[in-house]
Amino acid sequence: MPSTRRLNADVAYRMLMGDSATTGLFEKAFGFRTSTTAFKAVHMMNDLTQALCGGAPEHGGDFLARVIRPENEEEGNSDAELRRDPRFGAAFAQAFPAHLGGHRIAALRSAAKLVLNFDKGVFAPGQQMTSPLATHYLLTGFEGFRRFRLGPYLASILTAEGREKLKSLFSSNRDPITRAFRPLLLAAPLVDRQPAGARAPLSRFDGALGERLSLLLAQPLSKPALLRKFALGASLGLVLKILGAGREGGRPLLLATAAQEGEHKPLREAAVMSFRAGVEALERKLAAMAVEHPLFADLSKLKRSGDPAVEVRAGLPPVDSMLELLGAMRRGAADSAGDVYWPDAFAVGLGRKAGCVLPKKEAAGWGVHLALNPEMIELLVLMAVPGGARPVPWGDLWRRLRDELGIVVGANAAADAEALRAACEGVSLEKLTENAATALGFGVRLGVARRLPDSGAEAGGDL
Amino acid sequence: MTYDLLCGLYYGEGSNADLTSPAGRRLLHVQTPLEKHVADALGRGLDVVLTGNPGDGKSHVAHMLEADGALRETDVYPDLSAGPNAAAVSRWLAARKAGRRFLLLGNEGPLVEFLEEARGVPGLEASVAEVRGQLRRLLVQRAADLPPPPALVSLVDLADRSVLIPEVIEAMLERVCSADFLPPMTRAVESSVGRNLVALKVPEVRRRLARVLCAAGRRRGEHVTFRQLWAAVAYAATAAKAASTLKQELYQDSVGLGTTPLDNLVSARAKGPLVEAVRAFCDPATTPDPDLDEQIWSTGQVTGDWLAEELPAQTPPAALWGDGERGEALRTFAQMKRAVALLHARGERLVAAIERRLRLPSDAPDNPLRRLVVRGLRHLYVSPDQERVAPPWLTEGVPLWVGFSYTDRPAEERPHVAVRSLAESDFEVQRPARAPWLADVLGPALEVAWLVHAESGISLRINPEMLGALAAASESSGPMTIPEPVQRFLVRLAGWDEGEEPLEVGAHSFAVVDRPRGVIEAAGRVQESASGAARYA
Repeated sequence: MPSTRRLNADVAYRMLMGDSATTGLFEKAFGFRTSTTAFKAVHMMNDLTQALCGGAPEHGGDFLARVIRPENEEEGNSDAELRRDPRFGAAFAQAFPAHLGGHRIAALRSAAKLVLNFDKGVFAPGQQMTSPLATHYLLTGFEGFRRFRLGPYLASILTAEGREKLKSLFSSNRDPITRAFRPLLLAAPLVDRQPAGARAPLSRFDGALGERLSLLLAQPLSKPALLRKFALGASLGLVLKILGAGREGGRPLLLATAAQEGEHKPLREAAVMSFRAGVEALERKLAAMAVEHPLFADLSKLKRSGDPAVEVRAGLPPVDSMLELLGAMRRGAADSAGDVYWPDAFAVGLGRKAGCVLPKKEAAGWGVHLALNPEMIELLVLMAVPGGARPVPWGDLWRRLRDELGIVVGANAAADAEALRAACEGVSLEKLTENAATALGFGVRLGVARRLPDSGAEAGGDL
Repeated sequence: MTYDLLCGLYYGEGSNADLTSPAGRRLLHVQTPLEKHVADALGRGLDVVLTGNPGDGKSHVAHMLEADGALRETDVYPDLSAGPNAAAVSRWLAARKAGRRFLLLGNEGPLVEFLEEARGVPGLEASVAEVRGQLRRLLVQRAADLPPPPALVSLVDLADRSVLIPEVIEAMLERVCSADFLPPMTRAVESSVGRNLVALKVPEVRRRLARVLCAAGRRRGEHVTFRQLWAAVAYAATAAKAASTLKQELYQDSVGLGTTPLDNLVSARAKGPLVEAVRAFCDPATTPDPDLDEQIWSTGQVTGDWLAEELPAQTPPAALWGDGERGEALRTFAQMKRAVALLHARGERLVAAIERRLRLPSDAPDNPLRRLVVRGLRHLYVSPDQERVAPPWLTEGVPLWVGFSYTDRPAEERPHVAVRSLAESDFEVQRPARAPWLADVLGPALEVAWLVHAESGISLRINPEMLGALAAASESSGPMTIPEPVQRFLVRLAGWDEGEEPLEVGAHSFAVVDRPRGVIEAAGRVQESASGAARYA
């Protein structure tokens, strides 16, 4: 009896990544796709806006793309050409009256580019690569990344009030960004090129994340600041969702270091271990799902002996066999079938851009881990305590965040260490306390927390 | 008393009233108005609750009052953390029944728990309610938030007390310069600690050191406990050196330069909020005095009178520098300046200069402070250089600058947009308001003020660090970090502004900067029509 089994690499690839006929395991596990590392928050927010508002204006953001790309002569984006343009000539002439003069118009177009494309989400018009920094639904654009369905997922987890608030934000023209670029808001019927499909079932974690993000939206901040915090919170939430997918209720358990890039992080090693534990739990979950996947039965079918194959040990129970398959594919055993985009790589990419995953760049020997900078601490406080409410004791706040979202900083050192035991044994209580003190220092610095006499502290609400 | 006790103050040992002998407490006791206030309140028939941080001096006050016989008609509950709340409740009820006064001591955390548990106890309801009404409301941002004067119980929160009073610190220094504290060794007076204690016998030396410690604590802008103050005083005198170390110094003839109280306080080995504040903000070595600096650098001597033992002439730092011993040159220069600051007639100018450069909220009356803060807020986003080419509305009031990006890049790198400026007159300065009956008891309030937007109530806390940043913004046009509380203040104000009455159709101004203190990329007006169409005007 052979000691190994040969599994069809092409089928294994399709089982993970999906194809035109079947939903891949990754998408089944999360309800959205993760097959890129180029995805940015600006894509996510563009998608979410359209998921809530019913699409983008039918010009798909091309007007904005052409206004902010005057240097692209081949696109006919000079002032003179745009004034003659049958599609946008009238809109351009309305926004930029000729009497302003070329110099001033150039400065205005440059300012629009600087602000609305700061995150570099807008490329050539007509390419479905138009994700501006939109504070209004009339600034959104057609975007290929919408096929990943992150926007519908986020819309589905928000509470009804949260969805309504976000929708009203994207319809309001009261904020400084929308007001400054009001002439570029070109009204047109909405077109939704990626209508929401069936909703994936939501986990307890999804519900908690949705409630926290909805609470954030009720904070009395300027719209651009609120949207930024929402995007950062959603990015953090997606990292947590992916790392928690293998755990009960979808809730991760991640130790987060409170530090900024380049600073000493006494708990980094433990944080890396908890991150790895999340990835391992995800793989076990995917392995269990694999045996239920429609393509599972085809894994053993190899038409010719030379077909690309992945070898796993024979005689293993099906789930263990799938676990081995996943391990082999991570090592590149099915690369001939195509690039596998692992969800944790997606999470790391998105988290790095949001600042909640360190290190920022791949470096030899540096483990990836969750990290909370001062802005993230502020964000979590705003997600946990409603504006105007009584401040919450610091320890209670982190107990809630641990129990709901699975983030641990050490504010309740003994209980936190106990909760982390399965992922990383023997985390130092002293270092946990030190980590929580750093986090508190961030909160105090930003004015969302305050120390009380006798070593206590409270955060959020009407502070 | 022993030298170990003095060193122990640095480690917080000798300053724990519950662990110190009555003689030790008496020796370390510095009279403040607090003792009399507590005795008077008890004498008027009030119960008293003393709370605060560990190290604020609650137990010390109770022990001293007891020793003075001021608590004969009073039952004292010495520590809420030491027993169950029920025990404190029954002691209070018993005191009430016996017609005696009650003095309750507890750190603030246990006190909050105690009050929660005692709120429904028959016979104590009114007292507990009164304490709850006073807790955290005896030092507030608006006088209207102060509670009424106590009728049954007076709460004294020592977390609100400032011990940074020159006279108090001078008295502490006077305590430690006694011969009782000399290290147990022969030639003790010649050791570095001995020389410091002898120098501190000179009132002017004590006064200057007290002023430096006060300045450092006020600049830090946070509460300093009595225990932390004692730690700084003890470290200034001793650097917590063991007797064996002192003997070694004598043996090596290395006593002298570099071992003065100020050298000790700025040492990287010294820990504690107050000593770290001296190191960060009040080192005389970093305070310029051109004539003095020139003389020290080129001659290694200082003309004029020494207040204590004369410092021997040193190898001139300039000569050391010339010989390539640059580190030694800089070190000698810095140590000589620290010695001069405390021990020489010309040091008065240095200490005065340290005090002058602090920039404290209390230095300016309300309107000038408001002007300085508002101007600084503006200049954090549009530098004085750029302001010269900015439209007039950006040079008045507080423009509501808001950035927008979803990436993890600091605010200083993001473009910002403003469409409105709030008038300076929309803001007011508020300062800490202390309960009147405690005004003369707990010393000056913390160095803090608030710039408050009157209509929304949104405020920016102005501590010395913030004031320094805002002043610096107006004094230069180079890049600066935008303090995070400022960013938060502006997005809250802009959020309030966005929620106000609907926009009127018409024209409004706007401006875009490529980054705070960068270039104004575009500024102008947007004209909106009733039909919803808009254009740049």
